[in-house]
Amino acid sequence: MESRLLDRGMTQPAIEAVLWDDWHVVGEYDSVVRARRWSTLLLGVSVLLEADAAGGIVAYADAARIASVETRYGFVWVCLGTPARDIVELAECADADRWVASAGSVRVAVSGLRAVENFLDLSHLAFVHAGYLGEEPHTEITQYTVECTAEDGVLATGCRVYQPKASAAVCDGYDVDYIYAVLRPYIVVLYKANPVEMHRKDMIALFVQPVSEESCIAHVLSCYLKHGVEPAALRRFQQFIFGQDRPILENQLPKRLPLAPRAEVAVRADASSAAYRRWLSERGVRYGAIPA
Amino acid sequence: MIKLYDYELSGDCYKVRLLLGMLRQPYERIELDLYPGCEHKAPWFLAINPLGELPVLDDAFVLRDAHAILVYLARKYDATSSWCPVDAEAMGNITEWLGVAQKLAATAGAARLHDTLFYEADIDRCRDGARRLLRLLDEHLWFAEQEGRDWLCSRGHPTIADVACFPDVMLCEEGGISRLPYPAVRRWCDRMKRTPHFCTMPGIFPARTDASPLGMKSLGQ
Amino acid sequence: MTLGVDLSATGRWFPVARSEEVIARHVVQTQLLGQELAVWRDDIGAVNAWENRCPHRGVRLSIGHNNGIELQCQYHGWRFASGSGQCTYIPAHPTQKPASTIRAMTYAVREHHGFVWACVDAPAYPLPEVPAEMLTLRSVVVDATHDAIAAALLLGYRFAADPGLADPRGADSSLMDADVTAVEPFVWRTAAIGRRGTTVMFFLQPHTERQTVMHAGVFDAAPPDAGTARLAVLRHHHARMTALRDAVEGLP
Repeated sequence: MESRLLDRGMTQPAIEAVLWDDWHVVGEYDSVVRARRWSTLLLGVSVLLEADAAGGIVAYADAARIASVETRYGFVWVCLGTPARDIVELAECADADRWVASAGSVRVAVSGLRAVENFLDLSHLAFVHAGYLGEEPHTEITQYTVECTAEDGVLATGCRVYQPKASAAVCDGYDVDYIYAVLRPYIVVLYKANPVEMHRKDMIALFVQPVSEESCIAHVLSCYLKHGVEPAALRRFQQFIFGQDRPILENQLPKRLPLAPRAEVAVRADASSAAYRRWLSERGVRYGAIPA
Repeated sequence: MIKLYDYELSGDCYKVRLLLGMLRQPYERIELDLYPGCEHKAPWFLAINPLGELPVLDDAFVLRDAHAILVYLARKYDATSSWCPVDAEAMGNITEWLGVAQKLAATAGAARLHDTLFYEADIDRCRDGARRLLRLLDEHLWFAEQEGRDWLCSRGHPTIADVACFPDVMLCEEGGISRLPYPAVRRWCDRMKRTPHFCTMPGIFPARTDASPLGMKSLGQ
Repeated sequence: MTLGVDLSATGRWFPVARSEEVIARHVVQTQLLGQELAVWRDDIGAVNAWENRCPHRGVRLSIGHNNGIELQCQYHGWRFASGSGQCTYIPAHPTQKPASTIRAMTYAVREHHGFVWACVDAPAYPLPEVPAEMLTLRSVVVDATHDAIAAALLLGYRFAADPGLADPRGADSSLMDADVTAVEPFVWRTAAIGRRGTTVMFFLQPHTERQTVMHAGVFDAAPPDAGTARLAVLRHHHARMTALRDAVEGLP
């Protein structure tokens, strides 16, 4: 791991390049503009965002100007180092027949890696989100496929869960097909078949901002086909669902994600989380983790 | 039909939803985009409540302030007069604990909003204040149990005092305040969750009433 | 996760809850020497003291459910049997028997004379001797080290043998300063006072390095008079112990 020098000549505790040289969300654009000044932490570094009257954003890391600042998908993104690649590409957000709605940002007192893993998890839906994303006795998780690709991270397909109320658009229960894609260590996207246009998918993206190794901010983006849903309802539904996950996340011990294969018990239903932990290890992610 | 101007994640709104559920009163929820949309400060809502706060109740009579709404609903819709009895001692007692509930909102509730939704607060002062109140609550509930009382102000049936104090206590861990040192409070929270027609909100899991399908004979293995 | 420095605590039994507070279908959340515990009673009456952490994804078992024979984790609904801690059911794979290696971490636990006791390592000492007829008092949580409480106890404990007669403000002459001596590490006893030889015992349960629970009990050498109000005794000692707590915590 290399050390990084900021403009003021300070040495930053070494944070792995896979995180340091990547883009991270640090705030919801509308909230930052409304507040004019937005103070936050990213990878332990103080970040200040300043919005001018025209809605332009300038960012500082410990009083040094951050060169890499972008607004994308309704959020403000920064890179503390030199971006090794672009901000994640979410092609669906450009579709004219979709609502692209931020559900806001929520602080969570746990490593962001735990938050990503929770998003990938299927077997909690009938317990934590009972009556909405799952329901007893439909708790069985049938085998699904997980692959790791160098570009896409972790991809889980063929996931299927019975859901009594799968989205803001739906009244009846049915079996829902899910696809999960971990795009970055702290970014995960899920796709679920739209109830009206079954061959197309609604998308929810979770951009996790690693504040410290044991705390994060979860920024949620819904990208749903417009049939029968209003953006306000989408936002409410995502806040509701995330609000149910939060006490689980904040009651996990240890707060950092253990990467050793036998640190915590896994069963076959946990295939995507086991793959995610392996993938993080292989990419040298340590921040927010307990390395193997 | 009663109308409730409401926000899912608000503890004060949940107090009203809780009592409406337990009174079996149907109502229509008008859900505002409080966060991040700040809809409670929009002109149309300020016309309804100039304080720009939730919840607001419209029962052909508009009332703001969660505790005022609890008093109104209990007096109007509870034929048994259990949720808010009118004798002087009961009313005095309940009002005492509504005062505590107000302090819980200003400490534990404020800590939660700070820790989850970026509200401004003197977080250390809020947490210290919440811990002092929880300590007081734990003592009170412990001695209540010793005297055969399950609730803050009453013996066999909760009152609006319990409803008013419950959300900020039950959600206090979201503000960085552990309930570990308050075992009597934890037992009272379990009792609240088992009250008939109790409803949850995100952050609060329901009590389970099922027995294990294995049955009693598996004990001793 | 346990406190490593306090060698006098190793192998010892500590009270972690009053028996009457480990009620059915509830999970007590407590902590001993830095180790969080989930303490619960099954429907037959047996008590359990487990590491407060599901072995699956680390979620606290104390936010889960006691169904009378198992503790069920709130996250994925995994169930663990009373006694062994063995995982009995994994809802994601409902027709499969969970591997026998999957279990909650259990600690040694006993129920003895009004308290549930636990040991977070291998018990090396017997349970402290406690009179069978001791009345357990309200446990008081103190934001201080057990050494600080011990130091305060060594200055004496001021109480009345007949609390029904005592002035709750502490000014009454029926209050007496009783010497306190250590019985064994973490266990203290007052001298007997009053005509029935009333004694108070204190049992310290270190939650963490900064917080300690003072458990206590009172007993008489001679049988109490008929009509001695139990509630008056509880309230009296609660007032005396919170005065001690406030002094230790440095509050006015």
